Amino acid sequence: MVFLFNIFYQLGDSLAFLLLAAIGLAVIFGMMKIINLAHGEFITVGAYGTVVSGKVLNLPLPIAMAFGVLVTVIFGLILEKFIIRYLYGRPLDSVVATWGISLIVSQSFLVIFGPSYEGLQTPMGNFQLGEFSYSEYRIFLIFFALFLLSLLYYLFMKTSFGTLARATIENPSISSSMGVDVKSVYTATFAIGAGLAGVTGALYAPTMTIVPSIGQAFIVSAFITVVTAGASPFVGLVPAAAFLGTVQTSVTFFYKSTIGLIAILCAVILIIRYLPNGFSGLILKTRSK
Amino acid sequence: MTKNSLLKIENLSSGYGSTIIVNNFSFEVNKGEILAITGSNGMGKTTLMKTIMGLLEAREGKISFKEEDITNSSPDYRSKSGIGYVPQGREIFSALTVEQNIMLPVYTRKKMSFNVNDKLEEIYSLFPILKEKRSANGSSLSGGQQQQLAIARALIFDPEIIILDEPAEGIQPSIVSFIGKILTDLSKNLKKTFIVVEQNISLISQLNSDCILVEKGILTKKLKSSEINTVEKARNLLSLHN
Ligand SMILES: Nc1ncnc2c1ncn2[C@@H]1O[C@H](COP(=O)(O)OP(=O)(O)OP(=O)(O)O)[C@@H](O)[C@H]1O
Ligand SMILES: [Mg+2]
Repeated sequence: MVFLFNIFYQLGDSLAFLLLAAIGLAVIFGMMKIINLAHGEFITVGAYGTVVSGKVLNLPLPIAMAFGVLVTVIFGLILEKFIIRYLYGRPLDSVVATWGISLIVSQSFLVIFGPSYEGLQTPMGNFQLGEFSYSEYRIFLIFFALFLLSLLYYLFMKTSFGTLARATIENPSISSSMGVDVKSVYTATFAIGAGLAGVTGALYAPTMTIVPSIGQAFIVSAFITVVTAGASPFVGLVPAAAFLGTVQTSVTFFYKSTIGLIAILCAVILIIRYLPNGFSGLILKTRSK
Repeated sequence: MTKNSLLKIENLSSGYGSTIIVNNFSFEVNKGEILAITGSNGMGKTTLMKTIMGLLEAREGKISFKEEDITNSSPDYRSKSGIGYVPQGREIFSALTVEQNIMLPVYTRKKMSFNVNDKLEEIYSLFPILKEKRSANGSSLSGGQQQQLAIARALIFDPEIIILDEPAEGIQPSIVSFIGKILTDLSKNLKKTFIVVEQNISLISQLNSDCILVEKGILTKKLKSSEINTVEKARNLLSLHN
């Protein structure tokens, strides 16, 4: 029983991490096709926004987190207006530009806040089961990740804004001839993606050491999860994260965590080879049968 | 300017890169009228329509809609001013359901002057197949169904004029005449205005409208509806290669 719970806890922890790492990127790369190498730095902005406002302004954690998200949205809006806007439909240029952004941002954090910043305490408590101790906050993160994803699915698949966003991304010029203000839709969609990365940073800030490279911890997981999810990220993200999380947890369980990451990468290679449209491709295909 | 001219094109030129395709083009369409535009492949009909929609910029000349100069307006502004567009190849959004495709223009507008649900039902009664497939993906429809969807998507916001670019292309004859009937009915009963780019002779004669002929981006003939209202007459006068 305790053994089973332990497995579920590890699995859920890894699922939450993969989902939250990927969620903003699912919008910016999965939907908008911008290869955003600065995704990690968006998370960094969210994390610092939370920690710094929590410490300096002495805000309660949920408010500090909201502040961190807000800062990331503003950061995303500024980048969109001055750089990203010119990169829609230019994936290779977006690689170079976002890589540059990533370097500039992480170096600026180093200069401004130094090599590490005093962190916040992980909220909620721990509980004991058998010989193991578990963090309640990490269990909260599992449910929150799933909730956030359902919210996002609803936003993009069921609301009028989501319809506009998906139409614009599929065919901007025809959308504009139907009355869509393409520029604003792109800006809003990008801001949502940035904000979600901010949420990730805010949520993990109280669990990690706050260093300028904090976002780097997420970027590989983010990309492999979005790629595995496939063309329709909001449909494919949960199965992709569940699959990768299972691979990682089981390999880590028997071997070491470095081997867990290698196992994930091998799994992704197999997925790309045998499911070129990712998990969402598989789901949409079986659904339409 | 004639009193009821709804859309007026004056000396319009446009093209791609350094090539001019549409050359010094002028015509006007009055309210309640259907204007057919024909010409062989590659003569510049689509280029002309894209320029009117604002998807291509005008190099020279002027486009006026309801007496307003819209030559340099954005496509979404033109759409919101009341120009509907049914592009060549239909351009259905494959990621959206049939109903989301139809409703898209509504979502871009803050307020409509009529009840949108009534309008949707009205459109579904014109195109029953779309009602049946309302939750299906746009990409799962046949060519004829997609054409009806593209027309429905233009009708939903009740535009004053609708531009259709080759609605009969690749569609079986029974659906072509069904579409022709819908257009003529809308023009007769609701005073709707249409520009129909078309190479299908039977649809052109069914529309029973004036027609202009485009050759190499230049307007070369203006024909009265009485000159082309049968398939034989149209075939003789419009000497299309296909
Ligand atoms: N995107 C483009 N870039 C460059 N040239 C183009 C482009 N689109 C069309 N052309 C050229 O412009 C000319 C007119 O094309 P257009 O599509 O307007 O013709 P059309 O009369 O609509 O033909 P069709 O009946 O085949 O649809 C053609 O010579 C075509 O090669
Ligand atoms: Mg054409």
